Amino acid sequence: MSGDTQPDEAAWLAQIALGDPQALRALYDAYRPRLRRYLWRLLAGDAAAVEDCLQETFITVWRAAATFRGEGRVAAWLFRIASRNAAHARRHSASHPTEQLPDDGASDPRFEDLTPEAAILDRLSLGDALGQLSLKHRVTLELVFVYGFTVEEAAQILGIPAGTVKSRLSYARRALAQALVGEES
Amino acid sequence: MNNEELASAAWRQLREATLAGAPQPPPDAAADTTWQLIFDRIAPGDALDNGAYLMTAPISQPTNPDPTPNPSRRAPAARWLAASLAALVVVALVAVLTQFHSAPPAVGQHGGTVVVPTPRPFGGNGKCPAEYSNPGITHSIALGEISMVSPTEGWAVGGLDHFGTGVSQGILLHFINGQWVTDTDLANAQDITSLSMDSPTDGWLTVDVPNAQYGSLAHYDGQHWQPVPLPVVAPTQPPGTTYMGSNSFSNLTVRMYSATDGWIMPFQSQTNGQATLLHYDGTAWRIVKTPYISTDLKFYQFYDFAVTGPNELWIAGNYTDDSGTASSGQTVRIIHYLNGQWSASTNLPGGPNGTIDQIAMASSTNGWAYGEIGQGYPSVLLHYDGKSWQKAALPYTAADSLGGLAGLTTGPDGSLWAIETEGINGSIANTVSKKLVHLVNGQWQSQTLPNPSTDPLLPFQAGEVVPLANGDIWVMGDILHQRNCGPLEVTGIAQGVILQEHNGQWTQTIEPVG
Repeated sequence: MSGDTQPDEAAWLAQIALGDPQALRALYDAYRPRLRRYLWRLLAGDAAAVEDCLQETFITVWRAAATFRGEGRVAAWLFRIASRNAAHARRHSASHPTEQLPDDGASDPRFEDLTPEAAILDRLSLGDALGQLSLKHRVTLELVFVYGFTVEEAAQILGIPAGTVKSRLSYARRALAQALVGEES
Repeated sequence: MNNEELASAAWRQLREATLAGAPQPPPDAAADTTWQLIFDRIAPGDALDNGAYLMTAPISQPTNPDPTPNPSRRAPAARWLAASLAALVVVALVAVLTQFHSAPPAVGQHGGTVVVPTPRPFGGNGKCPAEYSNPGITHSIALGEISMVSPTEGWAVGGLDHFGTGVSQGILLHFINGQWVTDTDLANAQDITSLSMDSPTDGWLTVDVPNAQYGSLAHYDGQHWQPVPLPVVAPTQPPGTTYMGSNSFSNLTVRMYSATDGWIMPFQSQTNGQATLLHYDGTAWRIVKTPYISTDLKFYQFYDFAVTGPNELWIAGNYTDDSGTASSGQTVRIIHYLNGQWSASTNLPGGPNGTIDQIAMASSTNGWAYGEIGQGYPSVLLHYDGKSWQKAALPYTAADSLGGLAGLTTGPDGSLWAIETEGINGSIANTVSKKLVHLVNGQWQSQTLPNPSTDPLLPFQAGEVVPLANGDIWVMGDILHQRNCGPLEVTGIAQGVILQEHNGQWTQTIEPVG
């Protein structure tokens, strides 16, 4: 999925903006597998919620295709819409998100040197570390490594600064480096 | 292995492990089903879905739609409509002749040939019982806000969406002479998002303009509502500013303290550290930026706000640490503006993580906030006594993940009122408003709300409660109809309801009115 928006994708969006459902179907067929896998992670395997999010994502595309300015890849735009729909679904889900952030009482994170996750990553091997990653860290890694988005695109999709994407990646890499050192010694 | 080699190896291995560890959902068997649902919703034949429409009175098509078509919604629908008109007429006739439920819900073109989609069973998409299916609804009327200026006069706003045409129309209702009537001053407005009356002769409302750069305003002078242009906002924003996922300064909420003081907040997120508000000083709406709390904590998203005096504002929202050197999680804050100076709460009881999405302030020293904070995100009600925010008792068990409060507000005596909601079918995606709750001297009192829904399976969700000094109570909300029964569908089809309690008796007005 690396590279710029494919010409046919831009054409599909143009056709969708003109009200062509056939173009929407083409886009749906092309992106459903990737979006489904991505939403599967975000929604903790809730199949019904995944399908609802997919539905909402393409309804949004249908309504907003004319606003796509071609400044980024169609893929990043689609994933951003899907991310927002998933966030909406998670907020309204009875079972709260799989991500359980620690409750550290009155402590202020501004004065902590490392997040708990970073601390865990610092002392675990790679397999353990990846298993311990929070949802937001896993999703960040997957957007970059599995789906092939750039740091800037991942930042747009997740609605976070590019610096945050970099820091999440760097935590994992640093932990891995330490794990490799441990293996050598 | 030197540092450079180590880093390179680490990066490579991390990538390989991430690729190997990516989740694999089960084989995809729902592609065509979901596409069918998408197709049904984008087709103008939506209105033909099922049987009778449930409104208590007919709703006419808007006679004055916005003259500027929305390119992302209307143009496709209109062009589709033209392209499919002949086929649609045929299908409509078939639908009528076969009493809808056995008829194709929509028609479209695939591969150059006209294809009639597979008929859906009466029970929608099969995820809920047949009786949940909402027959043939063509409109959604959602009421957003109500503002009473006296026991005998008030205003309410909302939006009406026509599914078939994609046309949106603002709803502006005036309670006068004992009944709600439609006010036509803003007949071309789309989706009136909020309203705040500071007196019978002065008030403001906000209007959403889909895909426009800005929302818009209107002012009431005691006689008429007049549109008022927004000040230019977006060009002053730093790169990366987004409002509701776009560059549009829209989805506005207005709160007036007096005729010469009020605030407008858009639904916005992640604006590089500062958010943009508008403050009315009696002469004009001016831009006010929210503060950086620290070099680490930057604005992420605001959810609600309250005004308690001239030049005084309270906002509940989330900040995020994106420095890369400390926590990158979100932290909930309540920030306070007074005469040009900002201050922020430290961590609220329960910890830094979570969301406060409702705030109601009776005064500068007495206020309430409600949200979900801490491990597992339990419900939290907080009280501000002028010095700090402290946990207060909820009217339900905090661990009850299906319970909730809506419409948090304070009455004329400063006491707290709210709507208690509870989930149905094991999900807070479907909540129903059953009780009106009132905190009096530390004790919760509650009374059961009348259920304006004639169908027990269609939930009533109240969003606002307005207690008046004379003892009258107004409650506003929507009966939620389900179209395809998916969780995300539930909120899409609303039937506005206004309830009034007077001398212990409830009366109700169900849209449409006037």
